Amino acid sequence: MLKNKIIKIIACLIFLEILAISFSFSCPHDFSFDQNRLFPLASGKLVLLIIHENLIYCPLCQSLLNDFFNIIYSERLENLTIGIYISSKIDTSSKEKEHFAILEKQLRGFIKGNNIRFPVVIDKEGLFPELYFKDVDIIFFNMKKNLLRKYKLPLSKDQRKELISD
Amino acid sequence: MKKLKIIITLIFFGIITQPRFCLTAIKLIQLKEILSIGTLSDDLIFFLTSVAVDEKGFIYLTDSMDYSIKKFDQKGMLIKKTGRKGQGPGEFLFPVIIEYCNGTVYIVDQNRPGIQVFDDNLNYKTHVSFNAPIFDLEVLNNGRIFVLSPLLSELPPILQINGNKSAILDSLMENPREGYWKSNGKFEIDSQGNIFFVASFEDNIAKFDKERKLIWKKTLLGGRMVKQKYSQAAKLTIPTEMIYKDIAFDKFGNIYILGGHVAEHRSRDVYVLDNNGNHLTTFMLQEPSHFLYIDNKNFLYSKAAEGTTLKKYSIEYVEK
Repeated sequence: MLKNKIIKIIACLIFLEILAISFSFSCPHDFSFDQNRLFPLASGKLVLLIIHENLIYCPLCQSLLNDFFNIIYSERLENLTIGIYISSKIDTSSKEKEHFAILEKQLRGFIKGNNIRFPVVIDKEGLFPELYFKDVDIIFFNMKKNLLRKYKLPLSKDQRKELISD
Repeated sequence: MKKLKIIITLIFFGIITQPRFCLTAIKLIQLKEILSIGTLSDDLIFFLTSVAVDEKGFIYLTDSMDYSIKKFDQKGMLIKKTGRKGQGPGEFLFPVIIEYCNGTVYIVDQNRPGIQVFDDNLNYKTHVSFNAPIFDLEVLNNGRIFVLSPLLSELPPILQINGNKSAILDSLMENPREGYWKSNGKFEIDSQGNIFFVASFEDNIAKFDKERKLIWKKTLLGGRMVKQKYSQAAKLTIPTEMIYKDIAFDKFGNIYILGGHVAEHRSRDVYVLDNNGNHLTTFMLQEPSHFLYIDNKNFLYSKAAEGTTLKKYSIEYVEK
């Protein structure tokens, strides 16, 4: 069971990696060559931030996210970060297809309004909600140190130091 | 024969002088969509929270997802957008209430105290202080600003805030009391100064005169109670659903009340009452909304597509 979950997450990471790469190459405004941006996993580090749809409608929850965004930007981790936007409602029925389109639009607004500088993808496959409801907001990978950590927002001072130093 | 002529004349004048839609004669209200702003592919509206319309039909709205206020013309074209995330003048954290009056736009932010004031071109003008949460706002033509706040000890918890400051402080409780939310809701003030109050968390609709004397009180859902839960953070029992969501007047003075989670059609049923609180009819919005707005030309506005679209309808009355 756990093995299947890990395989799913790894598969998802590969998918996200491909997506992040394609995003970078398709961006006509970003001509500077940035090894981390193109290959976040090549640097050995990856921060996955799970954003539940409810977080963006709740002002208090938004401030949790903002605090984390500030850490990302101040520590220049934006090139190593990928946001995963999740919804409890996504399925394949036609009504939910409309809900998905609405989610996409609201996410565009949230990215614009918060000037988010890292890619955010919608978890269409529903891989991450289970982790989110198990109090996992952030998954941190450091391949070179063979490290995988999970965090719940808000980060404590120690967790923040740990994330930055690792 | 002469008597008959007099009777016919009286009946004729009786008919033509009768209000076009005698309040008790409304059988049915139908909405006809005349404008829709915001599609899934454009970036006009991301998360609509409130709307106001000026005398010329220009539409002003708050968008909480991109921390802005936006002005649209009568055809739905975006004229101006202003605001960004922040806590400075003209910046927002979660704008939730907009009110227009006499060339001025008033904004309440859920996460910032007070009211930000803009002109009708959305240029920032000033800030009105109020150190408690504001749940509803009404600005009268004479410039008097009324707010509804959970921390007011008044009943209903509505107060004019651009008047005597010491009176405001006297009215503010230091902490919310248990059950304070029961008196929370939305309100409207008519041209005579009567206050119409609709509670968010209990089945309670009431009319008060300008001296706050209760004129009538009404329940539409059999006194239904909402679900509650104890909040560890607030150390209070708080409601988890709403009975009524908003209140508006049409041009005939009828009262429109938007039902909440416990309505037969959740957040879609609109109960129409006359000025005396008599239930005239109920109609349904096409999609759930958390607000209802009727402008001075009697067009009704509500949200659609989970707040990414604003709909404007004409109200069509069907008589008995």
